[in-house]
Amino acid sequence: MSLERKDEHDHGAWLATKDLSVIEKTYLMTLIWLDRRLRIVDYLELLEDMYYKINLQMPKSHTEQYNLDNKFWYWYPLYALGSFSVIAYIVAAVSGALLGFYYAPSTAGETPEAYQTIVAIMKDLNFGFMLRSIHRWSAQVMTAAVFLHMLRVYFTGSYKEPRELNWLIGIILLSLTMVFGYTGYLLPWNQLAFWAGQIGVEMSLAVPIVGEWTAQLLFGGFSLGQPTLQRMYILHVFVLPFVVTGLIALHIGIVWMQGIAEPH
Amino acid sequence: MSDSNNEPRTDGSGPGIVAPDDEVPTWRERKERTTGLSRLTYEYFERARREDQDLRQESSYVERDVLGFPTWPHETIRNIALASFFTGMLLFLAAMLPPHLGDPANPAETPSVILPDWYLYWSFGLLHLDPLNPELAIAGGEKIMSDELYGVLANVVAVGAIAIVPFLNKGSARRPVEEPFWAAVGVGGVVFAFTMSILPIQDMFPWEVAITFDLAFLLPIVSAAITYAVLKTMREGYMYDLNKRYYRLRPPQ
Amino acid sequence: MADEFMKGFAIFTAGLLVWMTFAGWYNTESFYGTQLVGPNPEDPGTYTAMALVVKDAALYFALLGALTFWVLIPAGRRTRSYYASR
Repeated sequence: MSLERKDEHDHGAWLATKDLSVIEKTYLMTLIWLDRRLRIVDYLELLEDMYYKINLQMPKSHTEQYNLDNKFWYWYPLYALGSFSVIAYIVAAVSGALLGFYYAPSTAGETPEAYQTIVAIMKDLNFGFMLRSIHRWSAQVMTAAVFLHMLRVYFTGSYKEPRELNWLIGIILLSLTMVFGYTGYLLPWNQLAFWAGQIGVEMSLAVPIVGEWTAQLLFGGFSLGQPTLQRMYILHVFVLPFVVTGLIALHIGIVWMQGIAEPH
Repeated sequence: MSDSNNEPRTDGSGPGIVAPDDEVPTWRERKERTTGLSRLTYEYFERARREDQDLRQESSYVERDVLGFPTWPHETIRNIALASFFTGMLLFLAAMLPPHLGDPANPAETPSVILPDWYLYWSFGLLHLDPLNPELAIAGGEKIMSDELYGVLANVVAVGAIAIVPFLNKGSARRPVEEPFWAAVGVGGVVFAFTMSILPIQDMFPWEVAITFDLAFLLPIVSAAITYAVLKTMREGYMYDLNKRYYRLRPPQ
Repeated sequence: MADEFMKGFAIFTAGLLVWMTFAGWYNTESFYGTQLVGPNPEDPGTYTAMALVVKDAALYFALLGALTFWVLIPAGRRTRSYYASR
């Protein structure tokens, strides 16, 4: 086997036989140059294949198929609540990541450091007040959307038989959303945060056998302080984002596989 | 060329690579030869595949209630459109109503208001249920469990009750009118969540604690009863419409 | 009936959103004080007065709109079909 090029693979010669405009020629030469190095033709084929798989048969929408006189349209907002909570989650994630640049989880000082950084975000940072506002409202709105989503699923019977698993995942997600909210509520380390944390410690201490252990694990002791804030911070920005994002992906994946439950 | 015949070549040809022939077991045969759990898995998958095929060959399969309608494309596009609109409302709220930041934490001073965020009011309300904590005479008049533990348990019970719903209620009925009982349970639950949320913020209301407490348990029952009655009454007309418009096309199972 | 419910719901939420915005601006003393239903500001300027009018209008729009679509229109339809069938 020789390393000499075969004639039919001589793309330069093929190009020369064609009568092309400058744009076409430049385009083809760039394409050939890239393809020789990256073999994009394979990936293009994959994309093309995917495109046809998706668009080969555009299914009739539910309303068209069963001729529901377009009345179903009015219920759409309630069916978008799941997507809405995902979008609110994404908004919260982006604004939260930006807030994370300026926040410090520390209770040091007469006025706690964490509180001071929040004041600095709101008063000194450009767009900071709005950033915190967006983060807080997206959290509120996400929680509200998740609750309403659960009610929608309940009242349209969408949790029924093949979907029990997704209902359970949904309950876990709902609880984790509230834990997300609770840990975030503690981060400013203001009076509300401190005493809400106090309730949390008392609640976990009330549980027999595992209570003290839980308090140690989640709150870093039986009274609130630097360890508590630190743990809440790590839970809020490291542990929960991974767990919740993974569960949301699973939840949506199952919805995608099983299809959206018919309401009628 | 003949002396280099024994070495593998850069184009992938050469000795050492055996092309599959009839002797080589197929993937299926390999799987059939497995033992233990993987064998069981294989057998079950074969059965499931056969079941699907049989169902597809039966003519009734086409008219059978499908389990859901596809997520792509209509639902996804519509959801994204609506969710973008909602995001606009979210940003509007964020711009219009700024968040509150109170005084810094001070362990020495207990504030008059101790509250979590609004979405935890129901849970916080369940912690306030201690008057219901049963006292047992056997334990010398002492409560068998602390009020706090009782509140935590109430939370666990509430979440557990929601979790077992799909294992109790099965079938193809989807609309609330088709199952007035479950709709009534749902409405009762929602109202209970609201009345529980009122318990921790009850100072804001001009009436007494005892009234709130009674209402917390009466209102859900009353609203559930009303829902049940209304849906039961509406049912006949509604099912007539449904049968006319929808079930004619797809008979329910 | 479903469309009536959803129309009423849309009016209800949109109206309350506008009402809540203005009530949050003008009728909330403080976080710990009365929220949303506090007294109107004394001696409002022109814009504040206009906003207060809009706020009240949004509240009535939300409540009357929901009432119309959830109660009045369905009830009217029922009565009409009842008299038509007699």
